Amino acid sequence: MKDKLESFIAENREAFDPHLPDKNIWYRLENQLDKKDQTKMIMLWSTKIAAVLVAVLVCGIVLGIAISKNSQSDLNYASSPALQKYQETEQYYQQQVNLKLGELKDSNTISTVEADLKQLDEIYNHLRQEMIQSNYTNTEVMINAMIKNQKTKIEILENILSKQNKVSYDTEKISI
Amino acid sequence: MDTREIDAKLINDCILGKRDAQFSLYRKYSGAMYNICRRMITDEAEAEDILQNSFMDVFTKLKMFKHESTPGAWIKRIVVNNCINHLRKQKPIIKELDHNTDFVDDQGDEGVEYNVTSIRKAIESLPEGYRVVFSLYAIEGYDHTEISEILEITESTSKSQYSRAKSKLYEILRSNGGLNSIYN
Repeated sequence: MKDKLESFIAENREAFDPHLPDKNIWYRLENQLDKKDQTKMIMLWSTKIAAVLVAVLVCGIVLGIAISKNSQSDLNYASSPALQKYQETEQYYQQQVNLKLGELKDSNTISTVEADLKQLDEIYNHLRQEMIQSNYTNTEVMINAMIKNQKTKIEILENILSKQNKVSYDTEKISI
Repeated sequence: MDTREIDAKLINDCILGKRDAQFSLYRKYSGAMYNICRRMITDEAEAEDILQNSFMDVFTKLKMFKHESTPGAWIKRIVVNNCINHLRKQKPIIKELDHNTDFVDDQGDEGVEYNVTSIRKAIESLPEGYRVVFSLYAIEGYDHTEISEILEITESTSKSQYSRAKSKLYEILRSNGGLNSIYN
């Protein structure tokens, strides 16, 4: 059972919370959250880029073996139906990447992203080169690696776009 | 959507790292939580740091929230624990063997005038251990079982410390009341 003092406090509970937190506490907190998100994102990207590199390496080895076994393949790039289909897919992904790049606003982000995408492009061109040099043997493995590369690009862009579209706050909203 | 569903959606969005959801959660609870910090920690800047760090903990640990209690009660416990840990770094809050060192008169609330401001000021001027136990019980609404867990003391220590805190509070209120009547 509550005594007189306890009842008095319970009845006037709100009056015992007279302090308002300073607006700056949220801004400091937001900074802290931003830093944490950035570290997370960088880790995520490096893992993805590393995964693509491993895929390239594996493809190289697989192709090397295939070439030595079957050096007289006369498959034609355009004549293979799998490759024709891939060309369409490639066009689609390129379009998506360009579309998402167009949505980026912050110039700092754009330059960072472009640098990262360039890295992925180099890997992509390397894959393509290998496919041509190998006389289009093992096209399926190569195409899969190339598609994965394109998907990584789009994922990175989507990630950045979702951060970009976060709400910006004005000071007046902070009244509790 | 009822309150539970709205809370669940808000918490989900916070876990996904959506900044506007994190801001909504902060806006909803920071006022109440800040007042807890200010009651426990006398230094204003330290209280602000603890509030900020507590919300950082909240956003980090939110995926572990099991909806067994309300979000408010869950956040409050994080804040209270952080305050207690902060106080513990400086000195032990309650010395278990210290029960009878302090003489406390037992006049109850005789001659005490009840008004919010003077009670609040009197709580602020209580010695730290009394202030913490009194606030946890009479203001934050924890029972002695919960307080014994929070402070890692026995339930009987919590009870005896609380009743001493209350007597001390009446004593302060009486002497302040006396002072006021002199000046009036």
